Amino acid sequence: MLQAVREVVVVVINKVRTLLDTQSLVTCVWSLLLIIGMTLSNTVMAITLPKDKAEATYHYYDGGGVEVTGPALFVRKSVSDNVSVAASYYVDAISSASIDVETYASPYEEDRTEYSVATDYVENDARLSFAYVNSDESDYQSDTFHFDYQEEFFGGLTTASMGYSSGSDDVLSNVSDFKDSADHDFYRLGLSQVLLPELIIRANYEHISDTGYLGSPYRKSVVNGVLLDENLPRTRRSDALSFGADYFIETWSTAIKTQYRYFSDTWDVKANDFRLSATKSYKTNWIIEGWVRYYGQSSASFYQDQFTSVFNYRSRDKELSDFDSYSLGSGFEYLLQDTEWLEKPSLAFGAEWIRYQYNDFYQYENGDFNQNNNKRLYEFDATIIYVSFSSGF
Amino acid sequence: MIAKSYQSLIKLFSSAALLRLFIVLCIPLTSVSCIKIPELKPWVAPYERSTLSREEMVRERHTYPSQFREHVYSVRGAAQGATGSQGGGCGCN
Repeated sequence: MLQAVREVVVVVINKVRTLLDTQSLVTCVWSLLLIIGMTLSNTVMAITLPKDKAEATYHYYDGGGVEVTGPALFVRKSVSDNVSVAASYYVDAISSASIDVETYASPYEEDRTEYSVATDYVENDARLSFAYVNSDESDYQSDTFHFDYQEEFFGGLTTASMGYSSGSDDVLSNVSDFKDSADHDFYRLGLSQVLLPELIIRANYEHISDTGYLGSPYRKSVVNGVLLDENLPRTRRSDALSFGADYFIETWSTAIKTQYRYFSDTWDVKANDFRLSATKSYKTNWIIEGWVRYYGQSSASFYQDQFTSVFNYRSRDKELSDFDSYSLGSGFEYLLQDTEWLEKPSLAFGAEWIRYQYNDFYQYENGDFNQNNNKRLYEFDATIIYVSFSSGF
Repeated sequence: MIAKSYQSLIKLFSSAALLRLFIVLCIPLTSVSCIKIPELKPWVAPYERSTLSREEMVRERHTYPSQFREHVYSVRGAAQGATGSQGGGCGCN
């Protein structure tokens, strides 16, 4: 079934690519959305601002020798009937002794801090959003701007959205005077449709264009057992298309949510992922959720575990290799009583287990790449845990 | 004079991308005035949407847990985009 869906999506994307370039495609789809909007504008329902909200979360990740923990804070407040502002603060405290780090460098600890500010403006049936995100690490700095436009049509049954983001990164090294940069452009389109009183479907498309230094100054490739710096192409263009549906089963009082995504890029990576979740309320205060996810990808054209000769483009980045991953997760949310200051406060806790199984990335005995008889395909388990408090006010 | 202007125009639109963009913009705009699209009415009335706003159907009531999960997925794999969430760049490896 997945294979059939994947093939259909590939054919559609390739067909569209041959007809139009990306900018024209975005213009075309948005023009069609405008026509639908003009046709249905007499049944428009006003869109509302996102609710005032404060949230504090603690997140934890442990897997493959990498541990990431940290707090995250978010607050959003409306400043008028049609304008709201938001700000967030997010920290990743990273302790890394991954297989890459053990092979090419020494275990390290560092912090990544992310700040963001955002604003939303609503007018009748439309919402305009702007956000700025700054991410800061000792060897990586990034600034990203997001612009998004969302409009409801057809009495609120149809929601169309389009967005553009622009990112500019500085890539540094903590062990040398290496310095380079990378730029990223994101173009996205989205559509959601209420089909039945208990069914809503969604589709999202995103094209990403990356230019500049897209690798890691620490990572090496292996050529005949010898470590050489990796060298990745300085351009990459990717397309991702996702479909989802949320359905509420009245007899079970359970919401079933699904999402499938197909991804392909100019580095020859093709990926599929599928997520299925079930959410059910228990008594009056509990919401319980369980989910499974599958992700699989093929390797980049310039990826090899060991090269037999020096190719211009070469990488041994396991994130660009052929692998599969399986996830199983569950979450609980407890709805607290409203108070004078808090509206719909809730406490959430969740955990997810992920298994990564690599099909062309090997772990060598004692890190010796000449030990071809003492190698095994690499795999590891990762755990995600989060605790979050959220409330309107 | 007219012939020269015409030649310049042809030259300008010989750029394939520009021509495609022009066609893409023109077809929908002319369609709006030429085609009478039958009026559709919403088939799910506002009072029938209480199920869609139930707590179980809400996505991302807590913003960060799902963002953190998406961040982990994108850092550990090559695929990115079309998930409906945004973030900043990072050198996460």
